[in-house]
Amino acid sequence: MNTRTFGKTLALNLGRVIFALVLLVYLIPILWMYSSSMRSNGEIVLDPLGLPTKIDFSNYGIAWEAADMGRHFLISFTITSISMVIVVVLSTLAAYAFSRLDFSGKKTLYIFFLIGLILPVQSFLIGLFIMFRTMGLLNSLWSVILPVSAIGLPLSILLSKNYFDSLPSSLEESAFLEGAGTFQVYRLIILPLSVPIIATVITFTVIGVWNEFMIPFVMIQNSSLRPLTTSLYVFSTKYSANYALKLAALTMIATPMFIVYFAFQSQVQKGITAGAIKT
Amino acid sequence: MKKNNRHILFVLPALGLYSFIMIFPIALTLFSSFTEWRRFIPESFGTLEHYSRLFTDQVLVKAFRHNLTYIGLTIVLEGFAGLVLAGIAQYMKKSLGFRAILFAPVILPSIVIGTLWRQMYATNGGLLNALRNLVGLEPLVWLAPPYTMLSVSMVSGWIFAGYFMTIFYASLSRIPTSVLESAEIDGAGPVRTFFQIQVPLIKNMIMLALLVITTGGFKGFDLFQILLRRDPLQSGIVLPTYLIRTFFEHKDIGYGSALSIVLTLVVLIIMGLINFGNKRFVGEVDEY
Repeated sequence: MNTRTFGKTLALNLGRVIFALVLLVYLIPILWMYSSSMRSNGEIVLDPLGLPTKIDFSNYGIAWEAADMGRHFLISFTITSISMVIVVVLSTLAAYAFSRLDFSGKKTLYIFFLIGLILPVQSFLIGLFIMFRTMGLLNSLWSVILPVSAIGLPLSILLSKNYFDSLPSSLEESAFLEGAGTFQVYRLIILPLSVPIIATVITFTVIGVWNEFMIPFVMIQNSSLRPLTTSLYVFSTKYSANYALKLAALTMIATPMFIVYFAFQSQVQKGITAGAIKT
Repeated sequence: MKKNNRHILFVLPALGLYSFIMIFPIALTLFSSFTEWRRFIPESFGTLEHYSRLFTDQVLVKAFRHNLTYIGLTIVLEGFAGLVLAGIAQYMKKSLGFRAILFAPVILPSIVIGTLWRQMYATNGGLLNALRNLVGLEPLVWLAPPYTMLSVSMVSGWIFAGYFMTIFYASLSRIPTSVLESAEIDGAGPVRTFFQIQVPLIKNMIMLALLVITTGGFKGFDLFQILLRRDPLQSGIVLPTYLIRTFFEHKDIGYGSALSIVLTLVVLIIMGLINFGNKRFVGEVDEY
């Protein structure tokens, strides 16, 4: 064995060792969450590394009741689905006009939307709070739905416009010859051809909105209207000493997300990295 | 398509929502930062008091220092870690499952990850101190000085190393294999090939990652709030948490607005600097 192949084998084996260690760093916290969620709080504090002595889901039921999780699941679901519809409809409409139609000020308006890509949420959060407070919108689901939808628009418009630009114009030309209007072309020709980009927009919007923490943290103080994220924050403050209940609650939120993620892994990765990687 | 100004109707719904939620409130924040408030009632406009207060605010200095520490640590724990993992992954057969697992935290809500890590960091009954105990080390108070910023950054790294690995892996896999083959013929080992040939070829993506991490380092709120809660010692106070506390807990509307303008300017300046640096020093390269 010459030194060159020796060096290569060494590097590859070092890589394998790093891989194995990194994998442990990711798996141990998750396994600990699952394992501890089935133990009693006393057992966890006494021996954090111990394993459950029996399969016991009683923490789950107690946490579900104590955190009123059914209610907050429903609120998160409502916020997420309404925002998803708003983002998809508004961004494809606008992107269609930016890609296919012509009107005065088109370029300026497009750039105006792109500014939204670089604005931190904190730049408008305070003004928004003052505005919503004046309008009496605080402590309503709209105080979360409207901001999270607006935040999703710039990237969705950018990606949809790029996608529409890549579609051939021959189809719509013949539709226009047959007398179709611009809205009909959008609805009957462009939208059906845009399933891939709409799927991407839906992916990052749904995950982003479902996970949103700061906006409901600021806008909703009424505990019966909190989405899952901030309701869990309040729950874990209230039960700060009860690890078992908290970990059971986390497990119930994380598990369905893991299942969806691993089932649609490449689509989800593509959706979340869409802003960074050109599709 | 012929020019027709009625086409703007397609843009109006998005334009309305976007302006109403994101643009108008910025103007309102700016206005509010020059206003004297008594709680939520504006009293007079035209004061510079909130801006002059910025220069004597020791907490702001502390928060800013924490942001910089956080950025330094996350560049290593998110960006560099992601880069190295992407480099290793391309040599491994069947790295798909591995990459999928490392990406998984990215999709979880910050509240789930933050609460889980808060438990792991717990002094008694926490996973990390139990592991330290196993190898005979003293327990640490993880979420207190001097470890606060490191502990928060480790959670960030745990979440986003997989994200950056994924985008770097995608860029690396677009480099033509001929480039790697010629490097191997020249006798370069995997490590040298990676750092001297592949990394320079994806520097555009690396600059983008740097931009995301540095601006993210000034925007991040969730993990600081969830891991440190009220943080009475301010050992992990950063601009976003300081801003929210000033505004919502102390009901200091004017100064909170000024802080929000500062945060916005800092993020925009960083973007400008990195963009400038990118054009000036990295230049146009083939994009992979």
